[in-house]
Amino acid sequence: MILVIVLALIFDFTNGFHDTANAMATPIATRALKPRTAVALAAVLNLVGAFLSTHVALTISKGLINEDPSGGGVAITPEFVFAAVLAAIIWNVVTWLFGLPSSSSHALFGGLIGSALVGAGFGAISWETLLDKVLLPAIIAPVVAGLTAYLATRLVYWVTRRHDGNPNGRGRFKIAQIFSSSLVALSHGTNDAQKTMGIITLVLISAGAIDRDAGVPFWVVVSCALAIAIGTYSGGWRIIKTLGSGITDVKPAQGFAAETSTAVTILASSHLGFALSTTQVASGSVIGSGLGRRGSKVKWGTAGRIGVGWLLTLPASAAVGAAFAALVLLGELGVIIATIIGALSLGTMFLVAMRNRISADNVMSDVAEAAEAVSLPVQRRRAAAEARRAAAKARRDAQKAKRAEKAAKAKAKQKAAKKKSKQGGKPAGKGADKAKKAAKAAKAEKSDKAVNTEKADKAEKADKPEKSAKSQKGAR
Amino acid sequence: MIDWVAFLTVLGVTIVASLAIVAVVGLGIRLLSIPNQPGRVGEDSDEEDDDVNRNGRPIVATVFAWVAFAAFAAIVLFGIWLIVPAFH
Repeated sequence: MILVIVLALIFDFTNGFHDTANAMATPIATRALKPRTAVALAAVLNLVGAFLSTHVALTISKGLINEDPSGGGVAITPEFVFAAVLAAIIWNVVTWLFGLPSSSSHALFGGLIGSALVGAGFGAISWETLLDKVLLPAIIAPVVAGLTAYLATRLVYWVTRRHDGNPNGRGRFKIAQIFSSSLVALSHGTNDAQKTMGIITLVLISAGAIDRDAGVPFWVVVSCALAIAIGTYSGGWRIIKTLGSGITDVKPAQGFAAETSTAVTILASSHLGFALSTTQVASGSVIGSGLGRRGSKVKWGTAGRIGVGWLLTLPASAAVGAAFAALVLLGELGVIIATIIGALSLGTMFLVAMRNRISADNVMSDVAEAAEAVSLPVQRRRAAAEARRAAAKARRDAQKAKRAEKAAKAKAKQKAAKKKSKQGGKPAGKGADKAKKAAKAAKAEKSDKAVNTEKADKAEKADKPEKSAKSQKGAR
Repeated sequence: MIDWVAFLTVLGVTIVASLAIVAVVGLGIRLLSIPNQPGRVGEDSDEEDDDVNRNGRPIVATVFAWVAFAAFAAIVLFGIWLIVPAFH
C-alpha cells in the first residue's frame, strides 16, 4: 500500500511536470515571464490550488470504478491501482519525451481501466460514468475551449484595434498574461492535484484504511499538493516548446485570450464535476486563438501529432495498465518484476532525453532574438525620446546661434560704418573692438553648436538601433 | 444517462465568462493606449513643463481603464469564490 502511495505521488510529480506547459507555455512564448519565474509561479499556484477544493478528487475516487462489492461491483485491490499508476507514469514520460501535450488524466484513467479490466473483469467499470465524465468531456472540452479562445481572440483584437495607425499598446497584454496564466495554474492545481488525491483515497478505501464515505484525508492533500508543485517547478520544457511555439506563433493579446479561455473552461467544467484534461483544454485554446488572429498560422502538422497522441493515450495506457495488472496477478514476484520494468523503462527514457536536452535555457531559443527586439523597446524608446529631445534642442540652439551670429555681424558692420562715416578717416577703435567681441561670441556659440550637433548625431545613432530592432520585428 | 444540459451549461458559462474577461481587459488596455502622440514635449520657455501630460492621455481614460481592470479582478475573485466550497 505504501508503495502505491509513493507511486501515486510520483505520478503527481510527472503530472505537474507534464502540465506546466498548460499554464506557462504561452507567457514564456511571448516573454511575458522568464521561464524560471514562470514555472516557480505555476508551482506556487498549483500548491495553493490543490488546497482549494476536493470536488474532483471525490468524483474520481467514487465514480469511475464500482468499488462497492455489495452493489454488484468488484473491490479494487491496491495492487491494481499500483499497475494503473505505473502505466500512467510511463505513458506520461513517453509523451513528454516526444514533447506531446497529452492528457495526464487520461493516462491515469486508461491505466485504471486497463488494470480493472484484467483484474476484475468487465463489470468493474461503470461505462456510463466513463462516457459521461471522461470520454465526452475529452471531445467536448477542447472544442469548447477552442471556440471560446477563437471568439475571445477576435474580440480582443477588435476591442484594441486602432483606426488611426497609432500604437495600440497590445504589448500591455503581457502584464495581463501574468494574471491569466496564474489563473490557469491555479485551476490546474484544483483539478489535477486532485486526481492523485482521488487515487490515493481510492487505495486507502480499497485497503480498508479509511471509511468509504470519508473525505480526502488532510495529509493526502498536503503531499499531493507538494508533489505537483515540485513537478511543476521542474518544468516539462519539451512540452512548453511544443505548446508555446510549435502550434502557432503566440502574441501577448492572443496568449491572454487563450489563457482566459483555458482557465474558465477548466474551472467551469470541474465545478460541474467533469474530470477533464487541462492539457487538452489548453491545446484547444491555443489552436483556437491561432485561428482567431489574422495573419497567424496554425501548424496543423503539430496539431495532428498532438491529436494522435490524445487518441492513443487512453488505449495505450490502458494496455500498459492491463499488462502490469497481469503481472501483478502473479503475486509478490509480479509486483517486483513490474517495478523493475517500470524503473528500467523510465531510466532509459531519461537517458534518451538527456542526449537532446531542452531546458529553461534553450526552450525558446528560436524566438529569443525576436523576443529581445520586443522586450527592449521600453528602454530604447525612452532613450530615443531623450535623444530626440536633445536633438531638437540642439537644432534650436544652433538656429539661435546662427541668428545671433548674423545679428552680431550686422551690428558690427553697422556700427563700424556709422563710426567711419562719423569720424572720417579715424580708425574705428571702439567699433572694431565691439565687432571683435561680437565675432568672438559668435565663435563661442559656433563651438557650442558643434557640440550640439555632435549630440544630435549621437541621438540619431541611438535612434537607429530602435529602427533596426523594429525592422527585425517586422521581418518576423 | 448523458447529461447534455451540463455540457451546454459549461459551454455557455465558458463563452460568456471568457468574453467578459477579455472584453474588460481589452477595453482597459485600449483606454491606456489612448494617447495620440508619443508624448508632447514642453517648450523651453514653458516653466510649467510638469503640467504637460507626458502621454497626452486624458485622466478620464486612465480612470476608466482602472475601472475595467477592477472589473477583471472582481470577475476573477468571484470565480474563485464560486469554486472553493470552503466559502459557501
